[in-house]
Amino acid sequence: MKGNVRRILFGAGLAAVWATALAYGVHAAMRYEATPGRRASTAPTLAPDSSSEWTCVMVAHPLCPCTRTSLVALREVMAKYSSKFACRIVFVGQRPAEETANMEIASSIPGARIEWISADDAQQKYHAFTSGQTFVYKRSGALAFSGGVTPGRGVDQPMFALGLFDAILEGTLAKKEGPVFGCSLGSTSQ
Amino acid sequence: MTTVAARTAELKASHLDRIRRSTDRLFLWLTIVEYVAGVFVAYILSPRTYSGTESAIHPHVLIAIVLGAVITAPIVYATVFWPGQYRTRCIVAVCHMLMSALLIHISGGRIETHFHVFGTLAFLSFYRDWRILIWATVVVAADHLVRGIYIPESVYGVIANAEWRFVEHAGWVAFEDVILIASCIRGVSEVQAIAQQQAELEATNEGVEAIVKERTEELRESELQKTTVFENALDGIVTANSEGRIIEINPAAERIFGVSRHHVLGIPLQNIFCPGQSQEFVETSLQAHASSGRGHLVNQNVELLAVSETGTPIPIEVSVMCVPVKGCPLYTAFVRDISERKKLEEQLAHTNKMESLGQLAPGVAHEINTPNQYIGDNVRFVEESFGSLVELTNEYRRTLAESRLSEANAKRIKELEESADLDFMLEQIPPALTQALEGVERVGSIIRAMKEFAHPGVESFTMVDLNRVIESTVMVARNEWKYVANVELDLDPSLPSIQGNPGELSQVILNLVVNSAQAIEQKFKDSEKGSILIATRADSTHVTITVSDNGCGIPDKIRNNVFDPFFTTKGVGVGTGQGLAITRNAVDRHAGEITLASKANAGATFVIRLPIGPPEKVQCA
Repeated sequence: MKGNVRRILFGAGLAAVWATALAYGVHAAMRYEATPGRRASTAPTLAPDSSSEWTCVMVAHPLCPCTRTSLVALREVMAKYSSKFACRIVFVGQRPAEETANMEIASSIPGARIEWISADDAQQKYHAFTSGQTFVYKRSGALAFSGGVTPGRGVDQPMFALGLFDAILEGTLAKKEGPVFGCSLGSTSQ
Repeated sequence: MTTVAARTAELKASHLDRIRRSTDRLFLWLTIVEYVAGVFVAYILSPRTYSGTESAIHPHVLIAIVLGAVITAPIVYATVFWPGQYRTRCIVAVCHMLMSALLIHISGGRIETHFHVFGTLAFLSFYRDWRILIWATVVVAADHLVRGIYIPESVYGVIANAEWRFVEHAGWVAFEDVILIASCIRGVSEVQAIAQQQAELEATNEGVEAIVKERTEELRESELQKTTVFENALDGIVTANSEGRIIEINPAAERIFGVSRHHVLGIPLQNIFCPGQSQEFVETSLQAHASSGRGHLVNQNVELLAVSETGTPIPIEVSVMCVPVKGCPLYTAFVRDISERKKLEEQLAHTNKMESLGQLAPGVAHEINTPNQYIGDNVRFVEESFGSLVELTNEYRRTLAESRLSEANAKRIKELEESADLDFMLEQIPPALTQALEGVERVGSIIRAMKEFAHPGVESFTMVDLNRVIESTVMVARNEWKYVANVELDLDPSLPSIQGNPGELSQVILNLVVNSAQAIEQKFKDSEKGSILIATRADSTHVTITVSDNGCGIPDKIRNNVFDPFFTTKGVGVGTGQGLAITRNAVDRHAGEITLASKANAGATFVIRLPIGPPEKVQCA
């Protein structure tokens, strides 16, 4: 009888430890996924492309795996609205000797122009700290949106970006700023 | 029915347990593979996280390793230590759904990874236990509900209407659940049906097995009986195939033909018979039967010759049966060693001849007796007349001597007397006639003895003078003993007559005397004569006849067999083996007894005791 009770208590204790470990792990995973990076404090003043109604600029880290989903989402958007948007992908840092997955995706975005700048320039020119930071401007130069195009870190949901750009084009976007999920771009000051 | 129902339940439980243990093993390996694959995918998709130019291991890799291990561990433990149990299935369902959530997370929530949930549900249905699908669905729903509440964009990919997206996602899961639950219930029903069919089949099989067992036992007993008969038959049995080659032979046949089984299997049947006519006859008969269905050997008794182990031809009687087996003839030869029968037939023929002679003897004796009588009468007449003739002759000779004959006449008479050898005749003829009369008397007594010995027509008991029977019999058997032995009679003159059959008693004495003479001849081989002593004595109730000799005697080992019918150590024509058996039967019929006292090479003594009064049990021959 005592043995049974002891065994049950041991099992219950083990189950509790397991449940705690599981809950902690899930919590950590969700927290990582849902915690955005540092957003651009202010939107840079850029000269929009006069040939297009809209101009989209994404600042990206060439090696960040989380940014891959942002680039994929942008590619989906540009595939849909290539006639309306002029797209620029600004990679931050030294260009790697070999082409990375992010660079390949960026190259495949319809009409996208790829630029390279340093981390300091990224901060000074674009006020961007997190890979995936995206700015959308009207032809008039007015900022339409500043934030990320994924709902979470590394979340592969192009539908989110399509919904976002639909709202921008329709003028129904509730908030002009959104969270950015991606690696830190780094800077000399850090 | 109760037994079938219980067996059905047992089989169903066993079958489901087997399925569930197998599925446990499937999930064990599947989970391990998924864990490794999750870590691998995490490493491939997100190996490192960056901060400018600096990098570190990506949290997805750590989450895949640590959280994956936390999720995998219960499945491994439960499937290894609690296989087939309901709690194991519940743990598998819950943890595997958590594994789905982990993989979805690691893959960045790719919509394709969500199919892992549906795949897992399908795998879980292998258990054929719809209850665990509920557990799995609850985990999926809880995961989506919680994530949908706090970070809906990461789960559903859109911001708007996230609460309804949960319903949509849960709906698809529920849809699959409905199908899988129906599949589980149907699967269990099928297991039930299979179990019931198997139980019924087993019940039927048990009945069939019992019958088969019973039949097999009967067959085994029958086979054993046949084998016993085959192996222990006194007659030889040889089986040959359609080509006439031996396929089986029993021990009796091995003995008869002087062969061993493993040497003759496969050889032609005729080869075991005596070379020559027997082999040719068997071969020709089998060939004739094979070609025309007829053969002198088949279905008939035929006397042939076999060769014994020592090379001696043995007369055998063979009958061959032909039985078609699967369209081919199977020959079975039944072989009987008729050596003894042949020997007995020869002995019987000899006995019949002797019996015929015995039956002829009284007639012959009668025929001899008539001329013997007038020979005796005439010889007696000559003897009586010869005395007068001698006296007359002597008178003539005296007269001639006193008369004055011329010298020439006297000389001529003298020459005639000398030529006729008259003196010798006058001297020798009387004793010659006396001897002739003795011979006639002897022939007469032999004839009388033969008549008395034969006693034709006397089969009933009558008063018998045993001394006279003995004397007559000894006289009749004189030719059997006179060259090898002297017979001495020590007969009690006061021996009373007894009730008996004189013919049978004569036969008894004759058999014993002949046996004694042959035993003496066997011992002395004509070198000297033996002796036979026949004595009679009487007490108040019995007479005793003792016949003893100094012949070769009877060895101890055959002493108990000498009275058996047809038992003999003599050659054909010398003994029939019936003499002492007849003697014993005759003594038994006279309510007497016969005993033997003998030692090898020291003679034999037969003692016969016969009651003086009428036998209590008289069996007329």
